Parts: sequence; structure tokens; C-alpha cells
Amino acid sequence: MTRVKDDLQAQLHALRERYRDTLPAKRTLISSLMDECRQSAWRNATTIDALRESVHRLAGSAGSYDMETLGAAAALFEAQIRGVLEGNGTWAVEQAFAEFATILDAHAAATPVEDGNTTEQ
Amino acid sequence: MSVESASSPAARRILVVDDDPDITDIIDVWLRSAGYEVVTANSANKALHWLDTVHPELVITDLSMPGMDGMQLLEHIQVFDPTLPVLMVSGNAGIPDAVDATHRGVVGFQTKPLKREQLIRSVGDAIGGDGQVAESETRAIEGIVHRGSVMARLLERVRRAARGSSTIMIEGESGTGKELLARAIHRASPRRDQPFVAINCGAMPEPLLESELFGHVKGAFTGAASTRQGLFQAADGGTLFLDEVGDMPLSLQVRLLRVLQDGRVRPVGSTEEFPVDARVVTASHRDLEDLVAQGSFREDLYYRLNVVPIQAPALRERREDIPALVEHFLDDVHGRLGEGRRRFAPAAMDRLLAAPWPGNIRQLANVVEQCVVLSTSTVIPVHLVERALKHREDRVEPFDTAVRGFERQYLVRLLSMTGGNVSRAARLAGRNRTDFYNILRRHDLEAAAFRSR
Repeated sequence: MTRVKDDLQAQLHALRERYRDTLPAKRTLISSLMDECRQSAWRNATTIDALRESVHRLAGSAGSYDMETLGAAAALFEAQIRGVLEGNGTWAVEQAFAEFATILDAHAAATPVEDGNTTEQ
Repeated sequence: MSVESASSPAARRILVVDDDPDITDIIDVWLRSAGYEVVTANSANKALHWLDTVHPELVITDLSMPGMDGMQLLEHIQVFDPTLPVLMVSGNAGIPDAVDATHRGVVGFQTKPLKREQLIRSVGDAIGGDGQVAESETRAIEGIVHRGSVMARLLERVRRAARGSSTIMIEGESGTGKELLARAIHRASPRRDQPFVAINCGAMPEPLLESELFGHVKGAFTGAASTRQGLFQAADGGTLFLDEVGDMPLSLQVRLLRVLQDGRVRPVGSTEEFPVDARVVTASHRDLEDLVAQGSFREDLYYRLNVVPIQAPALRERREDIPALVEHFLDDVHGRLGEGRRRFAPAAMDRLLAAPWPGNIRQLANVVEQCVVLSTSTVIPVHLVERALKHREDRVEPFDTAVRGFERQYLVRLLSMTGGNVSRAARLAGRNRTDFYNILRRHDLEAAAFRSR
């Protein structure tokens, strides 16, 4: 039973680390889509939707990988992107992005600790 | 997409559908750790293709996906198999979405981020028990000989349907083993320790059928010398199987409907009613919808009986099972008649595989027995099969339908034989791998589904 539990912990740990390794690429994609949105003065609905979709995925998955703060920041960021699509200004989305990016960077840089968990920033 | 077997051969299989691999990966690990077997699909379309081959007990799907979304997938699944439970997950759904999904028939709705314990609890609630198929459910269907995907899918459905108490209607041609399925349903159900009572509604005159079903009191009619309990009461707590229910006279249909509605039965000639709790499973070789349209079967009773429909496939639709069935019948004849053990020559087996089988499994059993009895050697030659078959080969389907049906059955058989090894299957078929993959694609078949099964 203990071995099974250890196996599960090891698998979850490996998955979490793999997920963490993907964060820089996710950050690059989202930053690049943000730049495109800014360049088009947030008028290109296709790009905004692509940005929303990328952030939406992260909002859905991060919490399942024990990165609740990242998931919450992504959910807030996604809500602000939806706001832009509904005609709101872009100030709030910029704020949400800044906060989201800071948290994502911290998670991407987090160092695993010995018990198989990772430091939650 | 992946298909892998869990450590236990009796693990329950769950199909997980999400376009985000981060989600399918973590659900995969969570559910495997709880003893389930997991198949993942990264789109609703791929999930639909998998349904036919992986026979999941539960589908977990994301609501929002590019192309076909979770709700559309749910609609397709409900057409494919109305008994297959679906658990919906969503990243940003509100209460109205959850309510809508529940109204449309999902068994559960969870919002992301998903958590392991909560998801496993929901899965357990949806399909009952833990990751392992109950031993009684496995034993119940062990007696049904099969090797191919058509019957595997059907038996999966039988196991699921058995767990509840809903009425079940088994439709299928004569000789397809409908009573065998009814007995399997009973054995796999929580009622397994109570009686299973079967009656053929087409085999007896109306007054006798009425008395058999509902019972009678002494003096209720000429010859009713004593009070007699009916089959509904005899099956109390268990299962009552009404075979050929389409042949039941209209007047008795009214009485049957009343029992199903009220859960009480009143014997012929009695003023007293008795509570009964018998699960009713029916079967018919006739198209009951047609009978309803003709006015010879009550529509309200039809819907009351048809809560869970199960279609028993014709033998020509499950040809991949023929070799196993032939072996089974050879064993049976050997045991009963004490004849020396026989086997079919390769050409004779080919003929059995290609026959149209209008009489289905019953005909196959007769053909095997006839061949064993008439064969003078241990190897049964093809001409004996020809002779046994010759009187029944009068049905011809359109050429294109026949070719396509044959191709698919051939491919399923080949992939089952080779355990999903495409190189081997292609070699046996005399085609190169690229050609073979193209043929599989035309039939929406994926070799991976036949591996590790």
C-alpha cells in the first residue's frame, strides 16, 4: 500500500515538474499574444480570443497541478480579457497580465523540495 | 491519445476527453491510481471514434473544446448508447451551464481546477463501486462466448444496465441469444440471489397467460381448483423475463401496464392486490415500434418497457465471434453426444465465417451438431458445412453494403488476432502498411484500440 502511494506521489511529482517545465513556453506564447493585442489596439478579436484560450487552459490546469495561485491569477486575467471583448478598457487587463506574469515566473523558477512537493509562491 | 491496460484485467475503463493534454495527463494518473483503466482523447471527434472500440463505462469530457464541444459530444453519446454515463468538466461554467448539462443527462458536473479526491468520488458515484469490475458482474457475462468488439460493447452495456432496476427491452432476431442476455442481466444485478422467472408470451393462449402472469384464486374460472400464485409474485425481488412480449394480447397489455405503474398485482378472480417488486426484462424478435404504429401494441406500455433498450446483434454482425462459438458448440456436442472430438477443416471454417446465418447462433449450433454427427473423420470437411447450410441461404444484401460490412468485420478480426499489430495484420492481409492504415482510416478503426486488451 505504501509502495503504491509512493508510486503515485512519484508520478504526480514527475507530472508537476513536467508541467512546470512547460511554463516558460506558455509564458512566451501568452506574452507574444499580448503584444499582438496591444499592437492591434485590442481590435483584433481573433488574437484576443487566442490569448483568452491560452490563458483559459492555464486557469483550468494550474490548480490541478497544485499551483492554485497561478490558476487564480490566470482566471482573473481571463476574466479581464473577456471584459475587453465585451467593450471594457484595457487598463485592468494590463494589470491582471502583470500580476499573472509575475506569479507564473515565480512558479517557473520554483525549486522542488525533498518531499516531492514544490514551493508554492 | 493512448490506450493502455491497467494492472488488473478487470479494471473499469474510463474515456477522458479534453483538448488540453495537461488535463488528460493528470486525470489519467489520478484515475489509474484509483484502479481504473483510462483512455484519453484530445477531441470530441476522436472520442466518438474510440467509443466503438474501447467500450468505456464512463466518459469524462470537457465542456469547452474547439470543434465539437462537450454538449455536442453528449448528444452523440446519447444516440450511440443512452446508458453510457457522462461526467462534464468545465473551466469557467456557471450554475446555468451545470443545470443545463444536468437536464441533458450528465451524471455530474465539475469545475476546474479539478481535484483528485473530488473527481474520484464523482466517478465512484457515477458508476458505482471502485475501479474494479465487481466479480459477480464479470461472472455473469463469462458464460457468453465472444471475442470481438460488437459483443464486448453489448456486454459492457448489459453490465451497466444490470446495476439499476429499470425495465430493459432486448430486441433482436430469432436465435440471437436474447434469453441468455436476460439471464446475464439478472446474474449481474443486485437481484442475483432472488428468482429469475422466464415466460414466452407467444406460446400460450390468452387466459392461460393471464393466469400464469398474475395468478388466480380458487374458482376464478373452470378448472381453477386451487389458488395459484402468478409469475410476478414468484419473481418478487428478482427478475421476470417476458419473452416475445410483442405477442401479448392487448387486454393483457393493459394489466401488465397497471402492474408496472402501481407495483401491485391482482390475481384473476381476486379482489385483493399484492405488492410486487420484480424487475421486468422483455424481449421480442418483432419490431415493437411497428406494432405500436399498427395499434397492436400499446404505446404507453412500450415506453414503460423500453427504458433501457438493448439490441442483440445478429450473428452476421459479429462474425469475429464465430470461431469461438464453433469451439464452444464442438465442446458442447462432444460432452452431450460423446462423439470423438472433431474440428473443422480450414475451408469448412472459412465457409462458416462467410455464411449469412439468417437463423443466427441457434442455426450455427445446429450446423455444428449436424456436421459432427455426419462426419466420419475427425476433420469436418467443407461439403458437410455446405450441406447443412444450403436450405437457409436465401437472403442477399446489396453488394456495396455487403462488401463494406465484410471489410470492417475482416479488419476487426485481423486486428483482434494480431493484438493491434499493424505490421502483422498488414502482412496477413497481403497489403503494405500505408495501404493498410488507409483502409483502417476508411473504417474509423484505430489499431491501438486492439492492443493490451
